[in-house]
Amino acid sequence: MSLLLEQLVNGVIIGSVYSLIALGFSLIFSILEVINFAHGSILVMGTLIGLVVLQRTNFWVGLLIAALASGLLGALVEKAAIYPLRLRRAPLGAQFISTIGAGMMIDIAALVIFGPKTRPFPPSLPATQFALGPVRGSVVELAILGVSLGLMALLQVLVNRTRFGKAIRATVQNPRAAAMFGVDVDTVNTLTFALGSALAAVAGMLMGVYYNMADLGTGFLAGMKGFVAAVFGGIGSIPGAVLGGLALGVAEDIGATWLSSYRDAVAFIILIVILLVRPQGILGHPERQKV
Amino acid sequence: MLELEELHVYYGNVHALKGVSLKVAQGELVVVVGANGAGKTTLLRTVCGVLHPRGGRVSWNGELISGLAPQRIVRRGIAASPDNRQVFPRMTVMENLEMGAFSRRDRVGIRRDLETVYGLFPVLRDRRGQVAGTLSGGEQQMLAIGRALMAAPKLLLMDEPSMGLAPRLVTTMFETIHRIRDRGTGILLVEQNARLALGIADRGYVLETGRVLLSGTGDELSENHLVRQAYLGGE
Repeated sequence: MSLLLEQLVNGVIIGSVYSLIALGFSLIFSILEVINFAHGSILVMGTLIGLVVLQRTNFWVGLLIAALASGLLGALVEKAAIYPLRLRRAPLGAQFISTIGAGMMIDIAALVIFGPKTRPFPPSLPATQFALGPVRGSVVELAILGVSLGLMALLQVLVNRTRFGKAIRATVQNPRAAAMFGVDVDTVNTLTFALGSALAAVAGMLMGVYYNMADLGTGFLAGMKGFVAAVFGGIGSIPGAVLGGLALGVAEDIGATWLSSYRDAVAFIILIVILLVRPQGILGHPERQKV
Repeated sequence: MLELEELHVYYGNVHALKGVSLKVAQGELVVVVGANGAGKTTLLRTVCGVLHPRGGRVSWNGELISGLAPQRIVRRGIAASPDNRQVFPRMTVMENLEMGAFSRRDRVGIRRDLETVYGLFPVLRDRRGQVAGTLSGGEQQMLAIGRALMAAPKLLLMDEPSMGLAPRLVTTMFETIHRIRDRGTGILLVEQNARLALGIADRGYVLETGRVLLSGTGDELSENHLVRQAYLGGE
């Protein structure tokens, strides 16, 4: 019983990080109808930049810089790899492939700048342990959960209560009508891409403090798991991304008990099953419900 | 004043408007009638900036506006109730109306215009919390017009406001359009329902396969035997 509880808590913690990555996928997909396969690469680049800053300052400054760096990089990817294609009315498949190309370029840039070796994350948050009833936790885990859930709540407020959020929702639902009433759709596309990318970098930094390391491979894998979580929950749906991430985290942790060396495979088994059984995801509608 | 001069617009490879010239004076209600495929929707899309002309020009109060993006044109005081309504389906009625005022910052004016819209279309007030996608076709039409009015336009573009309405509601709709005009808003209306539309028009144009065939006052066109034969069902 206590093992299951422990697994549930661990699953929710890492799952909340997957949710953040999935939110980026879903935000970008709902507005551009493109799966951004540069998402994992943007996450890695932001994380490695954030790590350099963290080593000279502290975790929170590193987190902020990582988010800003990835946000900028995301805006650049949208402007360079997607916008020119949309202007020429290129098919969505071409835009999708363009994001793969952008991702490769970012990966190579990261390799040149930071090198191939795994970088340790210095202990940057207090290692204090505490017990909450039957559950043991650490300050690191609490920080991860707090940042993830806090950002999700903030995103909800942003989308539903602010002028920018209203512009996003209008663009998702009818871009032409949105433009006709004064929304600068190109700017909304770029800023949404930047927002999703910033969330990815935050997730990358949280995974860094959780596993005490960061490298190109783990970043890529994190991106893929975020994608699975987004599809799991129903791509394009914000609550779906949150739910999909948490469900994936828990499933991984429980799955690892029986298949410990196949921990990372659990995500992809889930992806295959969900695509076969319920391709629209848990909260997705067959006709695709967006933001 | 809106002025279209020798407008040539292509829809893909189709030459949809072939040299259309047309004027709407301040506060005037101008109707463009024509069959399906005559170029009516293309005309409105060009004025609001969704399409750009290959030849000719659109000017608004003396300023060239063809080539401007839609979000710039709405800020100059031209708003549209587009073809097929195009309301935001997963936003509430209230949110749709707020989106109409997206380009404005004057909170007091926005609140006043919201009351005006609710006055013109009381059903929208009753349904203000309802998601727009679940409204009936007629209610969505009212919402599309209300949303355009929320932009406080000096010129309102309307594409087939009678489409999909029950016959009883069509008459009410045209009365409402007349009231909007009487409040001082200029209107450029394209309609297949020529009889009712010409009945309330100050002036009208007959569009046929991308060209202006006839123009005149609403009454003149209603009396014209060509118009009667082609668009008013014989007699």
